[in-house]
Amino acid sequence: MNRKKEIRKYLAYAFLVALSVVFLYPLIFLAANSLRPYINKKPVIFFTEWHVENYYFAVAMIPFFKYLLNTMKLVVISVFGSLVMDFLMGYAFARLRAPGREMLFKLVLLQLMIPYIAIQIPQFVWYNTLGLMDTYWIFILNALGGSAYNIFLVKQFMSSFPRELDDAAKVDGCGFLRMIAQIVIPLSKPLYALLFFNAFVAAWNDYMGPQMFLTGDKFPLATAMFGNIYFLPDKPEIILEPVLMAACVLFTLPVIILFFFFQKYLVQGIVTSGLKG
Amino acid sequence: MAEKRFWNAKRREIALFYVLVAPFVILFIATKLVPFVNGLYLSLTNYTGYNYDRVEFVGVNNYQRVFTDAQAMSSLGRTFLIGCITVPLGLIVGLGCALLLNKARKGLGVFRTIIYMPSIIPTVAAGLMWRIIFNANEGLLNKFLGIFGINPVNWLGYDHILAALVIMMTWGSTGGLLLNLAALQGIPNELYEAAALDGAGGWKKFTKITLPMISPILFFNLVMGIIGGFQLYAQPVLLAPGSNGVLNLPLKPTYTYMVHAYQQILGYSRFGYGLAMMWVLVFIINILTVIVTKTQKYWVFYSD
Repeated sequence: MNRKKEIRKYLAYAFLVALSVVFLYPLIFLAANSLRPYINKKPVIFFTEWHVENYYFAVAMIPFFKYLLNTMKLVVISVFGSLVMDFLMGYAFARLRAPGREMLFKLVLLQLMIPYIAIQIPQFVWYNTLGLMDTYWIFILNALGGSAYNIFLVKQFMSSFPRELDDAAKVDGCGFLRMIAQIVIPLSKPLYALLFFNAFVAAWNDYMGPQMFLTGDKFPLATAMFGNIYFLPDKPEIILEPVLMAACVLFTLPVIILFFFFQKYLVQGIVTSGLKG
Repeated sequence: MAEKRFWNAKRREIALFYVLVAPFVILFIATKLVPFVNGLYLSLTNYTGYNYDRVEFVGVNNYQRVFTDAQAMSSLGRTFLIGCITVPLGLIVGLGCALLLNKARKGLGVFRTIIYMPSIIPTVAAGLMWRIIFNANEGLLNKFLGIFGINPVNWLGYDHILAALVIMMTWGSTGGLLLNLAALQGIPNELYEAAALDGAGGWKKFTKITLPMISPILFFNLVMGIIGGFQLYAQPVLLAPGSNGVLNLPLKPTYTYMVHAYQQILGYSRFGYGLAMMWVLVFIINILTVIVTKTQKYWVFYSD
């Protein structure tokens, strides 16, 4: 019986190692090939060459840093919306008693059901009509309006706080913002981390929103990289794969690094927000 | 006196609630509801993006066109087919990995990180990466298959593009892992112990305890999969030939409904028609979601 268990455990590990290779190797392949000479067409299967100049080309052949700055602007807007607006709204729905609260919360739930495109495409048509295109206002307004998913997440998380918490703060004569900053946020650390990570990654990866609402000069990296932007200057049909891969690595690395820092909180946040059912 | 203070506090609480929630309500109306209604209206017109002041009401013409547009209909069927492959595969991969991870005590963190990682890789970067892996002549996949004596496959060509898309999407489908894992770890151990006392084997424990206990999560993932699956757009476009960015035309086997819709809107400025296409899809998604929700009582188990 015990032996059987032992074998099963080793089998599980063997499977896990195999799966890890399958999931991880494409990324290693990406990194390894971002370092191969850009004229040599043969891909390498591991880190055998170190042509770091590909990374120079990746940022020099296109206005890489301009795109990066544009990405950062969208990230700041998204993170602000999530950490301030979604957080406070979620708090209000979870902790404040007011008539009409349940009805308004139904509005949040309703938005959860609506597919993303059903909001984005009408918005595109609407702003196009109003001539509001190519401004960050569209993103700012969307951030200020809050994300239904995040509000729901915050509410779920905070519903488990004891009621005495609010009363204790009130008795102490603690102002609202001070209470949020000194009591609620410290108690919600994993949730706060989850919100930050999700908001950062969503804005960082979003290519469609900027494609629809902004034009070339304001494009973030994700949108700019959607086309094949690295080719020989006089022969656009020849794509400089290693340079493109170097750009992919630069584009992906921040998300991976962030993930390493935050994964502890992500797991915690998911468990404690009761999203598991 | 005390009562007055209580009432004051109560009123302040209500006021605070409305101050905090006001942006949500106001902006919901201004940036979602109004465009939504406007979008519904424009789907009944011949709007092209330039003729807002003189749009003509064309009734349900656009909707009729959706159902008579051979490309729209065939792409809808195709999208459904692709979803029938990728959604279950995604569920199985997410659950399978979580089950394996749940067995691992040592090294859980490392494996979890590695397996979860593909789901956070930006879609655009993943697409560009896979395109190079699928490359017919020097691509990694063909090189790997070559070891086993398999002839190079033209992955990005007409015959295999669907397989390529499924491989790429399955690789990136581990996003449900953390949720699944949390659900698995939330199953009380006593249940398994009690089952073991009754002499239940591994398979029986899995079907009678594990599956029912995590069925709410599977249900959640299924609904999200359906909603996302019908909106499939970026991955086929990223694997498509050409250099038109978001307007690249995928090969027929991966030409999805949303690709066709975005082509109408972004490519041809057929806003009215594109909107009608979108509403039809939203309607289908909602119908399916309702149907799946109705099936809950047969297979989803809620403990409380």
